[in-house]
Amino acid sequence: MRWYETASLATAVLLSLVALGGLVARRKVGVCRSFVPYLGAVALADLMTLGWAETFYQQWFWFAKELVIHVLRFGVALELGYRTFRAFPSARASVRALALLILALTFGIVFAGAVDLEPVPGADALGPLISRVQPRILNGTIWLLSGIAGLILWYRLPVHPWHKAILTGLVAYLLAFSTSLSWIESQGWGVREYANQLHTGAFLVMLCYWAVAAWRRAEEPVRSPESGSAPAASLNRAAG
Amino acid sequence: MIGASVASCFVVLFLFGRRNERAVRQDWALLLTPRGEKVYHTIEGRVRTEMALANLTYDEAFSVRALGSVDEAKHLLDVGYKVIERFSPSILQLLTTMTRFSRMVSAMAPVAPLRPKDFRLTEIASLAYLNGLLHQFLVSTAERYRLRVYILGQSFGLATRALLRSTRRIVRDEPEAEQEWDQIESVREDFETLTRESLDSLRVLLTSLSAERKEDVLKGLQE
Repeated sequence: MRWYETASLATAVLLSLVALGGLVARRKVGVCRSFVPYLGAVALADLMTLGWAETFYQQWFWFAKELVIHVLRFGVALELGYRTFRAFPSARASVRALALLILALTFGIVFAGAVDLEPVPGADALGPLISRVQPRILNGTIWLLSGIAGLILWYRLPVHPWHKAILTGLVAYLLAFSTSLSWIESQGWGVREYANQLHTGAFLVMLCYWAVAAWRRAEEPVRSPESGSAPAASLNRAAG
Repeated sequence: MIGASVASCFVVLFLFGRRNERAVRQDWALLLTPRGEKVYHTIEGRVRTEMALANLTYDEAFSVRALGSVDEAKHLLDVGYKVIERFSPSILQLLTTMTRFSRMVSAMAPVAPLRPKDFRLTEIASLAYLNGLLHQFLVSTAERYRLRVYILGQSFGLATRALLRSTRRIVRDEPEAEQEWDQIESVREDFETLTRESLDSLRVLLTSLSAERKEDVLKGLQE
């Protein structure tokens, strides 16, 4: 393992722990319960790679870790959707249909991509799974999260700041991750190191953002505009 | 596939990131509490006052013209147009906001399409016919509501432009300017009808919002 890989892994573990600490200290664990196992799994996998590099700094472990994280990430996306839309029946029906459509579409494109898994010369046996199948799973997650964000915008639904931080952080990071894997698929494994740096950089930025958001204090409860100094609501403003 | 995915996600991410969450929460807090009814009365009061001011100016212009003071009548006509010019964007913004808020409602109360015979300007009556026709093709009450509000917005635009055209012709003493006084009378009536229909639409929206499952949403807003 190179020195900057060790440094980035150590930073990732530290930032994950800071974010988890913030969630506990600010009592935000219950705001999105599936997020804690997700971030916990991320931190644990990084810690294992860092502490026992000879055993776990291997492609099979990285792939297995990513598979587990994919499942947990889908869980986070579905919980965000459930929590945000549960009080709004009309929007809830839309998000349910969207989630089903995206899950079906993701399964379809993943199976389509898994037809030919012959590794290119010079690549490992897991190579096609990582560079061909993985981006398709990532795309499915990106579509699901972006779809949820799009429906929140369309229905103008209120969203918890922590949910917003998870959504924006994940979508931005996954876009970088998916792009880096597609880069490897199109340019070959020679660009792996640069692709890895792009993906790791985005990952650390996301963890920083989450750590800050997790420690941020909750905003004051919203008051009705006429009951205090709060700015006028848009309906009121619209009338001039 | 990746390119399309990246582009669409960036757009959503950008819009989602820059949205003012506090304003959204305040809108919900306002609409799901009894304050909503108060806001309706405030908006109704403002709109009616502005409309009354415009009517007063136009009445005065018509009276002065009948007494033979044409220059004074032209001046009052210009003042009346300025009142409408100021009033029109705020009502258009109100209609835009109503469209946005209509998406926040789970079940919208039914609305009737605009009636062509209520309007005197041919263009607006045609839009009302179009409203009636498209109304039959839409399935949900929310879509019908948004169509009605959209037609109202377009009609306000048409009426404002017609008023500007007629006022300019009269002020510039263009040929057949006398006929424009009748046109202004028609536009005034249409403005009143459009304002009344807009306020009815606002009331439908607030009635629909009052039927929401408020407890869950209000609890979420307090988190």
